[in-house]
Amino acid sequence: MLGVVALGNPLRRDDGVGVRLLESLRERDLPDDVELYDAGTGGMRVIHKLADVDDAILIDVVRFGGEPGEFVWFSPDEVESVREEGGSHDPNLFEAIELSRRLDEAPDRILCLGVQPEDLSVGEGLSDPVEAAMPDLLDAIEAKVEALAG
Amino acid sequence: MSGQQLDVDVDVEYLTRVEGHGNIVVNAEDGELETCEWQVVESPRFFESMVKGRSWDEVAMVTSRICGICSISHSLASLKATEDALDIFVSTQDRQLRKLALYGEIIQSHVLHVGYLALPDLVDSKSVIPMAESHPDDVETVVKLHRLGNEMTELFAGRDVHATTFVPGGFSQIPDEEELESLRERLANVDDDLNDVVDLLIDLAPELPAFERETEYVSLTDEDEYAFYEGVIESSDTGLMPVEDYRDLTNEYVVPQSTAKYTKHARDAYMVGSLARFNNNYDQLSDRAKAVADAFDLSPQETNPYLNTVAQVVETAHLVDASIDLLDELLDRGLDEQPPHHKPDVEISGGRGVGAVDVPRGILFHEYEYDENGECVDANCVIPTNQNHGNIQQDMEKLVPEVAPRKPDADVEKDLEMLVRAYDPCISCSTHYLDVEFVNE
Repeated sequence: MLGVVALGNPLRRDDGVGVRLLESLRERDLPDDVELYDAGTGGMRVIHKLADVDDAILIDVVRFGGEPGEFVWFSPDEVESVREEGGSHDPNLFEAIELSRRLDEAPDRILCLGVQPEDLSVGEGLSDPVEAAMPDLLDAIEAKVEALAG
Repeated sequence: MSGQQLDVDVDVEYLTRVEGHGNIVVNAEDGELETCEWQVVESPRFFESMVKGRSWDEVAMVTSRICGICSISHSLASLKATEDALDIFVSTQDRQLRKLALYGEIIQSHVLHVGYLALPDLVDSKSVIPMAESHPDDVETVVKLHRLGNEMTELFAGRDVHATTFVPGGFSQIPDEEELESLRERLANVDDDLNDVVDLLIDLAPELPAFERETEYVSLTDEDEYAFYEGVIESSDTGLMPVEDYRDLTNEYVVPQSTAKYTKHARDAYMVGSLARFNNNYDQLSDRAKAVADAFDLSPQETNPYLNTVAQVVETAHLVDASIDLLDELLDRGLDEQPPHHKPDVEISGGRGVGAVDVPRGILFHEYEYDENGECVDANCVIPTNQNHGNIQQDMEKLVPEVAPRKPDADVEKDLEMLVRAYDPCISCSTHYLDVEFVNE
């Protein structure tokens, strides 16, 4: 089973890009053994989803210094540091992944997709550059899903 | 080392292992306490703007996104407010099913706090991660209990976060009896895990600072049960008050050091959450929960705020028992089945209503006004964490002069950090994004 897990909050503009992507992915013809999971803003609950799947794609808004709407694929192992500022919740996503690994529950392959946001203010709807990136994001995720689960 | 004279300098920016951002700033020189502040850096919530203009049947869905940890709690307070405003009937069965969803969320939230956020303090670990090596069995147990709470919520709410099955008047979909029986069996087999957590915390409890400050304790209370979903407001100072009078309780006000509003009632501050519920409703705890409390020598009226974490463990034991009782009632009576995509029959008229639910961190209020078309025209929300800020501030002002003269600054800092974490505050609960640097940059 491949889990495609989105984190974020659609009430905070671009923070909702993952949830929007999941909605669009539901319309696409994905392999049977793919589960789409909206994890909301909760960090540690992700470990339970990681324990359930063989591979995982994690989608989140990430400020990595790119242009708004630009996205980057990375492995959790490539992350040097995560700033707490702006993040809101319990042990962050990478701590959840680390704990999952130490408990020997983590999937073999974990890929993260980070989308550079423009606007994280309170409100609904994506900013123009992130909205414009949606087709490319969907194609990129679908290709990765096919490669992992197909 | 500060010596006997008050002389301390503590500045904790972005306190870790709390939900959101808070700063602790304490400064004393030559015996004078110059600054002692719990600063809350909270994003403006714009709660009202999120729900104004929304239809009565979509407000709960929107408010479920306010918080990723307590989304079921917000949904339920929201539904209760809408149902109160529009006079919508909810059956006994649906109330019981909602309680089970809520109990699942409180179990997962309490276990998250005790296991992932508070225990590392007690074993002097920066986070739960190193505990996977130093206390592997305990961490495994914590993860298992956390998972049980999550899955319980998922069964009743359709998902473990942001309910899809909750609608005003009941549920769009309910589980079947087989699923209820399976959950009952899992809850009945949780004894060993609960005992392990209790044993671990008992071993570590001496690490909790001895500190007492009596305050006003506020919770829901109900004649028939240890209240989380039902009931009226109870203050340990002034007694009972109706939920619709909640503004007479909260009396929100603004302080210079915080962007969050503070509250006060009979005194300068009051406390909500597990310890407040424990103090107000102790008699209605299950026998097992009382036994857990006894094991920690915890009894009402407990005035050490650090023991809120212990009260969460007591409540976790109670919630397992209360959930089993609810499941037994539902199974004995037999579920009234309903078709999928069920929509309760509701006639819409305007009105104002308040919903209160006692959630992991304390009593939560939602209030809405709807026009005759069922469109929300006014809204208010008072979260538990904001009700505790004033009490944290008062605790700090008493604690610092007590500990600073006899402890090094680093220990004072740790005591203050643990104090704030004991309240399990959820400061900025509406966003999730990561700010990352990569290895090869």
